Amino acid sequence: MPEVFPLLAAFVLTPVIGMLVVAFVPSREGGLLKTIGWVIPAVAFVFAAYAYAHFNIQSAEPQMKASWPLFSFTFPLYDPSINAFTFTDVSVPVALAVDGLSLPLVLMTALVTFMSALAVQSETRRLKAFFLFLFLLSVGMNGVFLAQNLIVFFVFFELTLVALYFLTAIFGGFGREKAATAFLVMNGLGSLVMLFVFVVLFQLTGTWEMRGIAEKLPLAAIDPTLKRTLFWLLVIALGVKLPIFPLHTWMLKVHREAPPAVVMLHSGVLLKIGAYGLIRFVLGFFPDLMPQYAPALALLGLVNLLYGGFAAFVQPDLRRVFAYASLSHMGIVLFGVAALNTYGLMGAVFQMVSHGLISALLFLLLGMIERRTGTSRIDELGGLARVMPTIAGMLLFAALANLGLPALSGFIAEFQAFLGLFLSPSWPIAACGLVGLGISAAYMLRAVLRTTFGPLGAEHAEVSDARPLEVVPMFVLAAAIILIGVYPNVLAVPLQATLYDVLGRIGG
Amino acid sequence: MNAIWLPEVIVLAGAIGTLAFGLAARRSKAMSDLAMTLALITVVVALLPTVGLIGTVEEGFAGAFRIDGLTLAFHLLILIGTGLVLLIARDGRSDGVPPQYLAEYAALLLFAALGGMLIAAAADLLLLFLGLELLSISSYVLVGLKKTHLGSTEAAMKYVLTGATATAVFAFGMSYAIGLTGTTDVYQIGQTMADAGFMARYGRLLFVAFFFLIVGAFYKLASVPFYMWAPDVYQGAPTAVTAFLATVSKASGMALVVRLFLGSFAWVAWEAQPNVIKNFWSESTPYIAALSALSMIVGNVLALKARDVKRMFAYSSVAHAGYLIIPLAAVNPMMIDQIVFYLLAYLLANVGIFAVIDQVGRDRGSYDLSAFSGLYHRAPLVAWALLLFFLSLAGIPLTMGFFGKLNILLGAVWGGHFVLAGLLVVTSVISYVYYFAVLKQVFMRPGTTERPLAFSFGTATVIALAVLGTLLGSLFPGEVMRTMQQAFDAVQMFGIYQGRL
Repeated sequence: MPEVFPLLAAFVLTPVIGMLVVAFVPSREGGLLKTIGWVIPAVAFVFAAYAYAHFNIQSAEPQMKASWPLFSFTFPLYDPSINAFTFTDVSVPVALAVDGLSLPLVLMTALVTFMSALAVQSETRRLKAFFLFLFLLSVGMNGVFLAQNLIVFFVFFELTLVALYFLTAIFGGFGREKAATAFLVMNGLGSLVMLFVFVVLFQLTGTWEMRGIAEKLPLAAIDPTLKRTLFWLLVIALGVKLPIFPLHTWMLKVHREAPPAVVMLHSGVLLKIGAYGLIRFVLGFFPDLMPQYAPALALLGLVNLLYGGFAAFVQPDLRRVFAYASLSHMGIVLFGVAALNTYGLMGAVFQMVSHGLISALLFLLLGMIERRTGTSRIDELGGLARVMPTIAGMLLFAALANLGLPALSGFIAEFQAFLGLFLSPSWPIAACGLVGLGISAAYMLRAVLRTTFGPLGAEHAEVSDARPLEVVPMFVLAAAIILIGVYPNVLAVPLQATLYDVLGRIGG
Repeated sequence: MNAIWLPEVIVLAGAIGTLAFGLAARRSKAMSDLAMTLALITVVVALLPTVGLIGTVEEGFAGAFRIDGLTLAFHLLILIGTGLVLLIARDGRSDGVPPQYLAEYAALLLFAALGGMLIAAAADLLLLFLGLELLSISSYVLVGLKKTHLGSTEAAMKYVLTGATATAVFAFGMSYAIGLTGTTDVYQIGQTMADAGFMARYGRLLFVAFFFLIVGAFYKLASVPFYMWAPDVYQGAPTAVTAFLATVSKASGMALVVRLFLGSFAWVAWEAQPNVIKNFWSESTPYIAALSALSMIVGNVLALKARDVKRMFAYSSVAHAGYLIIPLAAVNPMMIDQIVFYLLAYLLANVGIFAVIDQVGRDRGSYDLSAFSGLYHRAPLVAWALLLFFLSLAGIPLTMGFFGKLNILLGAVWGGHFVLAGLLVVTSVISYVYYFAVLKQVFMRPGTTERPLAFSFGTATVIALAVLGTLLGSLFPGEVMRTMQQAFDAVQMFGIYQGRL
């Protein structure tokens, strides 16, 4: 692809075009809307694949930059050389670029979005509004990993908030409005705390550019208390999204109420924004504080891992099992970040991508089961392998991937994250974390075996297996999981340069 | 010499003309319509010399009347707001206002606007007081215009009583300020205060004067401590008048506070003890910050419980008053720009929402939240416009309100007010809950009827203009801000650059 083509801009703007097109399609044209619904994400996926193919793996610098002006303003900034405030023109462009850290996530986002758009094909109610908000969500998700300055990051971040609120509140289950409000308040709080931190960071460094801040902040003379406060505020703000243990309640509600296609995106992509922010901002802006607080982060990860695991073990409902499983797996991301070495960070990024694919697959299958049987309670399901062998088989596959079976993506991720933490000063936490791996096998197998085997309920004897069209997203996701499992270099190679760069700054 | 008084004179002439026209044409519906149109024309005509005066800094009438960037910015806000409110009022005839009073309705709106304009232009305490009273008394009558409606009468009564108290407080503060400094000129007061030894001697009394003045002025802003009137008055008044109180009246109050604070008090510095220089703004800032914080908390928390949309917007307006006061507490070089930009964003979104409230309320005969149910199916375009307004008020990115809040946040952090910045953030999240509660009705709840809701010409125009303005501010916030800075040059005016900060 020639340099002049603004690839990333096209990637972010494709869903915007989708929104415009959908806005002019009359709402009774259901078939047409559905076609647009999957064509647009498919195009975006092609752009993402192109970006992957043309990525320069040698470089840690952001690549394929695209930028256009958003706004600019004059602001009195402190100039130490003359010891006075001078009015400076500060411009905030929509600056997009991709580096080794964002590339895997962008690719995963594009894939999961595409697959969930295929899964939407069974939706029938208010399709027009659904796709409008879905594309809005897609704009936010596509942009958030590419944003090069804090304002643009925040804008994309908030777009996902608004879009997911409406997707949950309009199209969700019985308790949808409560779930949506809980989501809105918790995440709104998280994102505005983040905005507050961003504004203070701007005040301290005089720039919104992420790289500029990463370079200036560790060198700037800042009150250490303020710096520590900012660090923890940022952890809390991103911890809402990730989610970290006491801040997770909203996420369970959304998992329980939102329509399956939306949960695929939520669990698959949106939780990863928190993890991405953790690496990009917490690690990137405060490398000097990180060694000091890494054990605390690892401890938070341990709480997530064990609490999520044990809670998942006793849930009566598949949706809740998977929700707690997500919580538990995000603990492993925290492990990887807290390890502060190549293995750990590599593991964290792998876990983000791998969990994105696996949980998208789990919720895709769950949606199919729910639609056929009308329930997701474990005690009401059973023996599904007899009536829907494909779906049940894939469910078992996803469960095995989730509990970390070797040769699948989950194993690579967890192995690296644990290895990294064992090699770091907080290795006792990693040792305790091993319990979590055992429990994850237990809860996944309990939930999945009870639904696929055992006696088949009489009321479910007539349900049908997956239709050919439904098989496509299942197999694509499964193929991606296997690919990463057997050939991890697809992700590891582009990641390396950037991770060395990030790690090179640590130590203080 | 420019005709710096021209905008005010046009509005005054228009108001008197409308009133006379109404008297002559009593009980004729066509004539009453014409009175409203005449008022609207007056506003548009008054806008022309206002725009023409941009860039002028001039005093007249022995320094009592001052045209500068601040004045013109607020004149524009007030005139635009009044014009939009008149458009709503023109169509909201059936909102319980007896038809024979329509000409008075229009004339009173113009008189109130004139009061606001005088406040913005006054550089003399007496003229300020005159403007304040003109605005207040016209507003009392406007609130009670629905003569046969119990709620409206009750609202007017409450408004008069609290208003009178606030005026008394203001006048009391004025008497101290004038008595101690021996002058009524706002800028002269500041200069007298800066005399050597003056503050050491009378400092405490001047602080008393200052707080009485500011607190009295906060009544117009509907901020703590004088916010109690807002819910009942907002609910009882005709919707167009509510919109007027929420926007134009608040803008006028802001002009009053800014002029008093920055004109007289803020820059006074004195030697409290040998070698200890104190200045007024840093001494007063904790108190102003406290009032701002309380307004944000009280407004946003109480709004959560409101079922009546007009009441909800009363509390919401208390909250926004709190946001607007932040720049005064966190004194910084961009403070006036922050205030004016935020006011503009707030005004556009609020007028648009009140236009919808008016139309829906007249259609359903209720201002309950549930009156909005199913609006998306009845009027999809208006529902999307409403989404834009609410997102702007809530401060969600890529809307004008977001950039307004971002500016205020930047200013708060610049001024070192981390607590206020934090509160702005937390209370904004609380506001999500009740703003989205309305959107929930609009987009998610099925209504009792699917009948398309027709919007009358004036309301539709207001909504369209508000959408246009909000979009303009959302897409080009930098340009809007720069235009404002160049045209009104508010920053230069109080000498914020000249080493005072």
